[in-house]
Amino acid sequence: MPALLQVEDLKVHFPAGGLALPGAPKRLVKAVNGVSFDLARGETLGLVGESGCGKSTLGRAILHLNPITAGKVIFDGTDMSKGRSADVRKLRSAAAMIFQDPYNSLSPRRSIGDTLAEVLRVQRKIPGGKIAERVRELLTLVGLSTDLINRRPSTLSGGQCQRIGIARALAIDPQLVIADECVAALDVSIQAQIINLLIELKQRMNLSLIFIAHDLGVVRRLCDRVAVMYLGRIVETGPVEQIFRAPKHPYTAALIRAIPAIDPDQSLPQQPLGGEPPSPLHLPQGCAFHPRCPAVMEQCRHDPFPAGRQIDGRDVACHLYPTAQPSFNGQGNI
Amino acid sequence: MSMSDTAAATSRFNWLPRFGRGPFPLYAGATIIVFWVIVALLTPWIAPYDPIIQDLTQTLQPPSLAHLLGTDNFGRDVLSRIMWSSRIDLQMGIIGVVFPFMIGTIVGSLAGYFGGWVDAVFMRILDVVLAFPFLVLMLSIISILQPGLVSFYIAIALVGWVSYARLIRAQVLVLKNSDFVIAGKSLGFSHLRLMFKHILPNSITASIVFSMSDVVLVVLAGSSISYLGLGVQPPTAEWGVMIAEGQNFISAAWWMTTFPGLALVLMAFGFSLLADGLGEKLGVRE
Amino acid sequence: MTAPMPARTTAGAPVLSVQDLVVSAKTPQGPRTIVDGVSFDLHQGEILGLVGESGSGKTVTCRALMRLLPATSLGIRSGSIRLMDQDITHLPEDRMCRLRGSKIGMIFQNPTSHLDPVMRIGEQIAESIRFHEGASRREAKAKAVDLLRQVGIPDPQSRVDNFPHEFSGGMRQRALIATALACNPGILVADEPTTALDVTVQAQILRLLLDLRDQRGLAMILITHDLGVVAQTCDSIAVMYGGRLAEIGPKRALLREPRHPYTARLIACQPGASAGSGPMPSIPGQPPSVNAFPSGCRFHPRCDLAIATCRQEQPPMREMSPRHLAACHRAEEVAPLRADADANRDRKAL
Repeated sequence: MPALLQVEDLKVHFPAGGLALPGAPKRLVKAVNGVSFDLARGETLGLVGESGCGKSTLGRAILHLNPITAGKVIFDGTDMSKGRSADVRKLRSAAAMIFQDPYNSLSPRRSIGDTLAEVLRVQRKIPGGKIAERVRELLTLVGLSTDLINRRPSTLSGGQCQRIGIARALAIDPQLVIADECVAALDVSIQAQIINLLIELKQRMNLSLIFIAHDLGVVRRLCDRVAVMYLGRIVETGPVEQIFRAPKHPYTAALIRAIPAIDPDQSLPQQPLGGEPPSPLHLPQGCAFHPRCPAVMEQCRHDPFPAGRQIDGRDVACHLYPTAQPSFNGQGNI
Repeated sequence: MSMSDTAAATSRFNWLPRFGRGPFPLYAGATIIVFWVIVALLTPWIAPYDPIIQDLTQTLQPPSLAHLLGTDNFGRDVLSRIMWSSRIDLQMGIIGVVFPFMIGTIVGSLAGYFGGWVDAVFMRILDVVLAFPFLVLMLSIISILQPGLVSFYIAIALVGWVSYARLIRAQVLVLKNSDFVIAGKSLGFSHLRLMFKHILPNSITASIVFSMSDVVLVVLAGSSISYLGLGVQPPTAEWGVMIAEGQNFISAAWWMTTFPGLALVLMAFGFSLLADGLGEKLGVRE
Repeated sequence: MTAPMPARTTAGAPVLSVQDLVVSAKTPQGPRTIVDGVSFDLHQGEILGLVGESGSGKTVTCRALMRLLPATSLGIRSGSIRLMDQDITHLPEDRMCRLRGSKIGMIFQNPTSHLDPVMRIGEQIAESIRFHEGASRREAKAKAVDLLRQVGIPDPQSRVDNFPHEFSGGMRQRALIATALACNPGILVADEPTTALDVTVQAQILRLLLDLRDQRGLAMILITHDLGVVAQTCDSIAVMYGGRLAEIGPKRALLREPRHPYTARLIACQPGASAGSGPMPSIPGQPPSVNAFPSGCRFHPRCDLAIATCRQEQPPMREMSPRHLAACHRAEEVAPLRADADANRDRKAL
């Protein structure tokens, strides 16, 4: 089956704010710096990384909510990076987003029934007379009582609002949903409810899902594949269980080790990964991870960013594996 | 940006009275305004005397039972003139706010939402307007046109919109990057829908509150301009005009300036209370 | 409780003792209880994890024992707080001020907003030393450099003159810890100190807190919503739900054999707790709102063990095993939901 979404060498650069000296080169925030991946229909991809790694920017760029600097985003056979308005309209009617902040992502002065009905009216996928019925269906679908239909978001709990956010995304009958940290702002017991809802919905509706998260535990439960990002690039991608059991990239390993286990017998690592991600304004030379890497070698400091290579059914971009087979879909990156 | 703009827009009113928070200012303000509206509506029937016809036998009478607030130098009843004035002053306050409000809202929305050159052009125009002192600009526009109420309305529309545009623009700049707007965008909502159905309802409260205080400013500006002889023309009754006329008699007939002044203060007081109460009610923080 | 820690002892008098603390909020409808009957002891060198969801009252509890409640809206209604040998429940503000910083320090979730942006890092640390110990400017600065070194800031000699915006997020949290520890308090209250940080930086900060405890014999209260953080750092755990303590006890006993259904469920639904696909264990319903706490046991609407008694009677705190207390009518019947075996096996393989 052809992939629903293909991202090829995508770059998103922003001009940095602040004052620049006249004549000095324009400073660029290289938020996404050459990312390639495929997403099959019905597949769930976890996009994981620390703050500032470009995962949210990538998600928005795929949905054409951020300008793209270079590269391609091919959705259902159409290259979106050209930005033709007919193509964008097609994308808008087939791909939706779920946001992190459940309150802020809903229009505060509208009832939730209004919010859902508006999407249905704008998208014109169902006749006007059926809209009220469909709104009630959507509420039931995400596990909410239809009594809430006239309530404002501020009178609902965070978990309820997040369910509305999901219902709104489903209102367009999407093929692709991008969930940007959609459980990060919720209490743990509510997080599990939302994750379960997503698991159920993606199976029932054969959704393709890109799940952006900083929490690896959540990703493991929900996703088929995971892509680990560091400073605008994917450093490792592959099936989620394989990566969790035996990460190849030193950053992935450190990230997994840093999740605190709920095991009283296990103590904190004596030597946690040092340093912090550098600013995307001043990317280090060579492999961007080398200043923090426990396995750093001389070539990591100077050679260009390592090419993606296939090991054990996943792609890794690291100089530790010079002999592995190069990845087929990378232009020097994964 | 939004903080400083709001602060700049409201700081002109720091001298206005401020009372306790909560619904009390809202109700008190609304009561005063309703009082003036009723007075303005009923004046033709309840005003005891004609405001314009002179009675030179009754000049400069102190307050008495026949003339509750006294008479002026032409023997006209001050109470009647104050009542007739309220019609003009209320009208000035409302028309002088509605047009700047509409222009400012549209300009601010467009500038904030689209940014780029649209923003740059509108903001430079705004800077030019702001570069001149408010009254000086008003006076020069009115004198170019010709003294009178209509010129006053045109001038205030040309000058007054800047405060609204800045308030709205600051709010729109914040809101256009908020998640619910991005969400709408990702669902294929048009710019117009996002701008006027989603962003505007959430950005307009500060302007509504400000417009209540702005009424005060406009009425005062109208009175000052009439006082200078460029607004409402004698013999029409208007509080500013009345204060100006009474000035020469301040030692002989204090009632000629004091009562119109009190009326003006009472209306200003009402609107400023209303603004405070609305601000509290609608959750607008200064 | 596994590794022997020289400074840690649960014998002897507690350094901090909270008894039946009740905090209520002033509302137009009359006082409303936010924290209801919380009791715990903290000993020297002990780290107590205070766990709960939003609205459980964990932050209010800690603000209360720092005596930092906003006086216009919240107040301690009853109960007592003893710091060392002193009852501080109603201590006047000027005397409390001298205790904060010198006897008990606090760090916060968002270091950026708790550091003064226009003051050099060194001055912010020195300020407290000069206030509490009356040290000279030079002494205080030397001590600030030393503190920055202790909290793991590289090149403290020059960093001491930086402003907060020149520090990264993790370094700001380190600097905030340095300010809290400037006057050698015996107790550190940490309110979600790692929630705003990335997971790799979180590990660094937790490591630092553990090292500081070992070096200084600090007693610590660590407020968090993340049971994983608690499991790796704390000696004992208190779980709060709806303004009350649900369960309190030594870490191992509480995590291995939770005696409150809420604790058991909470452990199971931590996202890192289990591998594999399929639905996660979750807790149905919503955490209760402060405005409408349920009757009886506040967890009963979400509890699968709830019986009629649970709806009517508030369960008392009962000791289930040494120092392990739970407030549940059916504590004996709570079975741990073990789903974490897989995850832990994987982690050990790394």
